[in-house]
Amino acid sequence: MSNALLQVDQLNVAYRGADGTVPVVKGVSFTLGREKLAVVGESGSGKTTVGRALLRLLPRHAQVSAQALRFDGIDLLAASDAQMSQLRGRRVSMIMQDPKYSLNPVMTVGAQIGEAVLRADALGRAECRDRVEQLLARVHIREPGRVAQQYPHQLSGGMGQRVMIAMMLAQKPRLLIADEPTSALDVSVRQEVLDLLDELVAEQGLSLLFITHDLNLVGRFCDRVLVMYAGRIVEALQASALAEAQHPYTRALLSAVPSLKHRRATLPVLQRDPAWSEP
Amino acid sequence: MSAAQDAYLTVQALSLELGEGERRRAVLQGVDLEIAPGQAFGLVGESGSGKTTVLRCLAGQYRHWQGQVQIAGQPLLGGQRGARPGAWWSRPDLAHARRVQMVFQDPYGSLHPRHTVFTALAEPLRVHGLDDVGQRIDRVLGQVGLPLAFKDRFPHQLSGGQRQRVAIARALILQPGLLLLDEPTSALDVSVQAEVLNLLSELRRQHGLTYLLVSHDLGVVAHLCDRLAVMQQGAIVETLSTDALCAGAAQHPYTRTLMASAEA
Repeated sequence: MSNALLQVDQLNVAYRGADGTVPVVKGVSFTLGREKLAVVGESGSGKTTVGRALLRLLPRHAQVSAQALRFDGIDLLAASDAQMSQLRGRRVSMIMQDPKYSLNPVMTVGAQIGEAVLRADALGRAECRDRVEQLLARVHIREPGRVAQQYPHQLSGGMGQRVMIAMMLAQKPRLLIADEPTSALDVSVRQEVLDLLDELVAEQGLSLLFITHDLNLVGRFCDRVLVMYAGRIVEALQASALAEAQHPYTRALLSAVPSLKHRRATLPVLQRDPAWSEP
Repeated sequence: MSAAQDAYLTVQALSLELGEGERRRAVLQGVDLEIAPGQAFGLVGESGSGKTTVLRCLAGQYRHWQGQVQIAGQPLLGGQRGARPGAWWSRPDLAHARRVQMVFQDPYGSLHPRHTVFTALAEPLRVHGLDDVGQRIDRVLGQVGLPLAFKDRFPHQLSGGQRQRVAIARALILQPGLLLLDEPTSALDVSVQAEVLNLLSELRRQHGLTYLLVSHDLGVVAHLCDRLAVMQQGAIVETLSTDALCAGAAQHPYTRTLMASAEA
């Protein structure tokens, strides 16, 4: 496993509260190479916390511990704050769920992407503007010159998410953490954003950690799937083998989705087994 | 017109414009709908296609629309009356509220954060001057499968699925014939979505309710509805039965695109 870009071994996250500590991630281990790895689970399963712990983006009262947490040879547990901020954006990027909340509402789109461009390279003003327009064109925005002058509220959800991706591309990262990047989008737009991500992953040799609640989506989009329940990974499998999932939780999640092909009078309801939260 | 008289909801040539001056846009461009009593009807389309706007017109949130709407044989007045200045402040139509209720997408936004479940459910009863408040609330909580002890809880003490059950209870407490459901499960996890969808089909079966469901998820619509209409840019482009949809009989290219993204 020495060739893995990211190695996570026995990651634990707990929040200090008034009544002691509450564990939210319990002993999560995985490695990530040049592939598309999905982390799937319901709200509260700890999937987003895993992604944020990697970039040290959790609130101060979170206690993070692990046997090992390595990215590209760097020990993330021992890294200084300065090293971490070198890492964030430049080598590891994150895309959040809703572009409405992750873009600055009072800056034009071009100025925001420009900030990321200038952080990567010292460019002159005209060069920077050209680079911003190239990036917008790269994410298939039709009129990059016009869109660069717009404010986030003038963009649709799909356009906003493209702008986020363009911003991430400005710094040529190696790992992309995408936290529910398409949940706020329409089905028709969702596919376009996924196709774009797919294209970039292939073209730039990115590794992708794809955090989502949508099992059906990862089945066709990712290479491997980790299923999380109550802070633990209950099942890890190839995305192509999703239909043959063994764990009752994974099977229940798959069968709870209403389908056009298999119509049922009542949908099976998830019967939670306390044993699933045991190690 | 004979078929229209049997329908629980009839909408003819519903049009609506929003905005002022140069920015005025036709949001709905002549929508026609007909739903039989006890039928569940789905409206599908992408954001901005006008599907939620149709619900808002029927719920009385927009009053300046043009066209004809009949609910349970009673005409709903829009148009001129609604266009009068100050119409937004006019007395709410109580009889309309007894026939039509709405369930919103986000149970986090649709319940008052500082009202208990009891207060939320008692408010429509008070507005309508109904008695037996306690009994009615106990009954409706039973219908949506919530324990009676939940009466004293605040929304932040409930999970997303429980909140949506409260929102459904609030809609049902006036015993309406028609429920307008605006993406009722899109904010929920699939496991919770399955519970709420089962509850909605069970309630329809038991009480003979008529549903108008708005969703962008064809799977949800196909599960709950008998018929559906596909909307694009403020107009209905295709209406067909769920059976026809699942058999692949959709004609319009946009419906086929939606099918492809739902099945892929």
